Amino acid sequence: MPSPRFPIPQGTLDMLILQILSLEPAHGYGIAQRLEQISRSVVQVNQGSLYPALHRLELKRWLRAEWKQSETGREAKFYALTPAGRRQLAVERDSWARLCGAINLIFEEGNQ
Amino acid sequence: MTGLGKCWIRLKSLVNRSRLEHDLSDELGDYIDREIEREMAAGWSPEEARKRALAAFGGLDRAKEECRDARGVRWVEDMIRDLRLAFRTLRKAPVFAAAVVAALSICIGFNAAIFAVVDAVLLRPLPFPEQDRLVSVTEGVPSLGYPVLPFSCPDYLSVVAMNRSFAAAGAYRTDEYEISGAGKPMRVHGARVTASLFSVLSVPPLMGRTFSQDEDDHLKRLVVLSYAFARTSFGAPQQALGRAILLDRTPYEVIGIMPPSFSFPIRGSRYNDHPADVFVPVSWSNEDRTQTASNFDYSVMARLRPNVTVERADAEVRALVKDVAENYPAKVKQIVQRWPHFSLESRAVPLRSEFSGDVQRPLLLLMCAVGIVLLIGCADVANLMFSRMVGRRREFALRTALGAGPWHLTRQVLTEGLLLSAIGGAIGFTLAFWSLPILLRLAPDNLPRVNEISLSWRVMTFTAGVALAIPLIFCVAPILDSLRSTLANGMRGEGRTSTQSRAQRRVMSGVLIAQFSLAFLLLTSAGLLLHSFVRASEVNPGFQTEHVLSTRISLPRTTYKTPSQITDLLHRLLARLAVLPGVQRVGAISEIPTGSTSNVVLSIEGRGGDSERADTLFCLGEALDTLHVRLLKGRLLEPADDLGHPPVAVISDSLARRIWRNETDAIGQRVRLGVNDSANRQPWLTVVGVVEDVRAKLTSPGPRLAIFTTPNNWVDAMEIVVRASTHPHSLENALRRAVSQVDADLPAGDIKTVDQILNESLSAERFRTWLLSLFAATAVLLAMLGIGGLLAYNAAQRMHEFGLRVALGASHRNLIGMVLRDCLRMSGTGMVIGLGLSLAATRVLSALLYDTSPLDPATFIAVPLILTIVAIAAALFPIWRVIQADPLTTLRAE
Repeated sequence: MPSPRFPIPQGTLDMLILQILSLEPAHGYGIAQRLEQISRSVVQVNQGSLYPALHRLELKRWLRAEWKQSETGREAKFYALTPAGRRQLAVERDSWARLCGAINLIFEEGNQ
Repeated sequence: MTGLGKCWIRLKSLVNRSRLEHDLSDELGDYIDREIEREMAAGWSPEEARKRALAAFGGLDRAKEECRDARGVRWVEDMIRDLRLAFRTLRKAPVFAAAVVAALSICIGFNAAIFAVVDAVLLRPLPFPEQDRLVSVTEGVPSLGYPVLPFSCPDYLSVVAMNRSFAAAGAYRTDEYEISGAGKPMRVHGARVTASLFSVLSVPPLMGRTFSQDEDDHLKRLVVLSYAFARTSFGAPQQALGRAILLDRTPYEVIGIMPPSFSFPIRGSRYNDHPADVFVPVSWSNEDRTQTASNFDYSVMARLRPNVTVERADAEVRALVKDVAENYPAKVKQIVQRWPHFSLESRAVPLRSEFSGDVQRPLLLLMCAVGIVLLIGCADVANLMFSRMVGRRREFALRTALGAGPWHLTRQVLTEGLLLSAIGGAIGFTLAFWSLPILLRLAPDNLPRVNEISLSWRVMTFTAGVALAIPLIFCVAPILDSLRSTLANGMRGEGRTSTQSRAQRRVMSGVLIAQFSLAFLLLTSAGLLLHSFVRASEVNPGFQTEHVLSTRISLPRTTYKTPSQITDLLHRLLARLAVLPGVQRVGAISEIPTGSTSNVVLSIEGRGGDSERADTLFCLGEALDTLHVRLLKGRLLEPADDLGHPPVAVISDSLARRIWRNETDAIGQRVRLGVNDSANRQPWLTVVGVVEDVRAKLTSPGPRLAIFTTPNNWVDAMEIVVRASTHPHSLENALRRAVSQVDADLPAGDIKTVDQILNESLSAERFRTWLLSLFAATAVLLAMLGIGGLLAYNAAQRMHEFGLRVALGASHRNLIGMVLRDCLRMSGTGMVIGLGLSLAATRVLSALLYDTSPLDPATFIAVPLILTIVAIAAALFPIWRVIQADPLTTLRAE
């Protein structure tokens, strides 16, 4: 039965994909699994939006794709981060940190 | 990632489409398989697992679509799909498509052709490097009626020596030369140029070199040829270098060939404007250098120093020439001061305006006219699209309900418009391509840079731009409007035909009214020009022009050195011609009375220093009789007068009146050419006859002040005129033979009838009138189609209503009356507005009209009449349709 899903905005999904792939290359299924695993099932990605996101990131040349043999033995399309993608990830982490910090400040302010 | 990079990826995607599709299917299929495995591992059966996997995925196809979207291929695929759909849809409505394509191809074709002319003549820079640094410098004696003249030799030399604005200056003068020695003798146009002129133009010769100032000073006989002439005379241009050719029977050595694109002097200048085939050094003699205040023959062109503006050069040359006039030698000053209000002026203008000035206004007029035709055509297209959109309301509503956004529909209809426009543009361009040579053949002689007029890239770009802009401007409004009403009305069942809203009908009528008013304007302009042209061609030139053949004989000075040699030859020629069968009279005259002649000072006996100016025409034989110049008093010149003893002259009526009023009889009075001082050696001429006035140019306002006398040593070329009893052209060969019999090396110039010459003098007016009439006729035709179409459409809309009326007892006559009322209302309003436009705008034409007022009543009565007839004629088809339709059928089908 599908767990309750957090709807994540498109920009955030891109950032998360980049982060997942910064550790090691993976195929689409693998990325979705990872996201679920790491976030302890809070973040569940709608597969219908994962693949368009992957293609979009590939268009922007932040990801590179190639067909390789997967762990199950069949061929799968593996995505990997490019240097430009790494730079973009750093930028996005930075913006996210700042946004989080700012929102936290506002909440704290409200609590005082 | 740059836009270009993205485009590249998109293009690659397009090309590798099938492989990418496979990729995508494989990738997503792989994902689904893994999901299925996982579900199966959780215990579900294969079919259930598959269903769950697909459900969790949330729409495989949509995911694929979004991936494709992300790859950015979609818009190209969409465009291709739209084009295919547009093609199919238009094929289903062939009449509509044909009408639009026809209207557009005519309009775009006309525009392309006229733009080609305007571009070459007015817009494109001259084929000389840095041509905006070139100026044309002129002198002028405004008080004598010559505000702009070429320079005289000494004045030119003074200006060049003293000025500081010009990096280089050169002078030139056109001349005709006889080329002989190889094959048939022929005449060519040439130019005597200073060596510096080539540096002014900065066009290096293709082969060989140009002459130097030193060679010019030493009167060396060298010649530079044009490419075309070198090729036609010597086969290959290289062959010409080093060879000798005989110009006016003097050998000249060929030292250079100019490149094929070089054409100088430029056609359309006021003086010295015929492109030359041979360029010789100007070779001024000592006598030439003393001809101050006369022989204003040499056009001057200069290249400005960097950082010098045209205004500065103009101011400087004005002051310089005033100085030059102040410092004229005493003798010259004496003469010059006799002339009333003598003052020597000068100006420097950009070279371009020197020769395009005259034609600028008529060409811009033609461009406006053709633009108006385009507008009318586009209005037709807009109305056609409007009516079609209404018919497709249902289709749009359906598609909107199925998920098409308004942008989607707009884009698709726009594609249809673009497709039609592209086809219309291509056909129009082809039409222009075929018609341009015809247009150029009818073009007047003074149209500058004719050899540069062609359908160049610039013209193609312009045409493509127009073709693209039309649907964007004229199709968007109908589409948006109908979309708005689609969304409002939805798919409400409205029977077979949808009805328009009031607003839509008003817009369509408004467009039609605009069409009619513009057509009115064009028709009025064409009518005025036509009237003016007819008036000009009917002008009585003062002599009879039918059945008179004429040819120009030029006698090279190298062989014919004395006046008596010249007259001797001409007499022999005239004697031969007089005995030919079919010849009534022969004579020789320096110029056809409507041509350009020299204007000289005339002294009158008994009036002391007072002088008049007159145009001189020199005659031999029975020239005046041949031309049937009408005698008013006294007698005409006769062959016996050719000897010059006693010296006599015949003057024109207006000259006689001007000199002697009505007090003294002109017969018996004496005049002489030149100022009345002791240095004048000209004989006193006794006036023996007064003739009717002749006109200088058919369209000039007043008659010539002319004096006819026997030639003196100034004349070395004359027109032989022959009056034939029947067809003048039958005498052509005999004429040529007679000329070669008296001198085998003498070429006869073009043999034309005087009628032809006069016709050619009106070539500019004829060109304008024809073109504008053509445009006006097209405009009227387009407007007629417009109103016919609209009335038919309106009638179709109201069929239901008509059916009801007939059922309630209306007769056919009532229905016809309704259609006619509709028609006359729209055309009438259009004509009223058009009348207002015309009254305001035709003033612009007054400079081009001869003997016609811009508010000519005949035209202003004829035009509304014509347009009313056209409107009613256009209404006939809809009326016929209305009568044909059976009202009961109409009602029943609802």
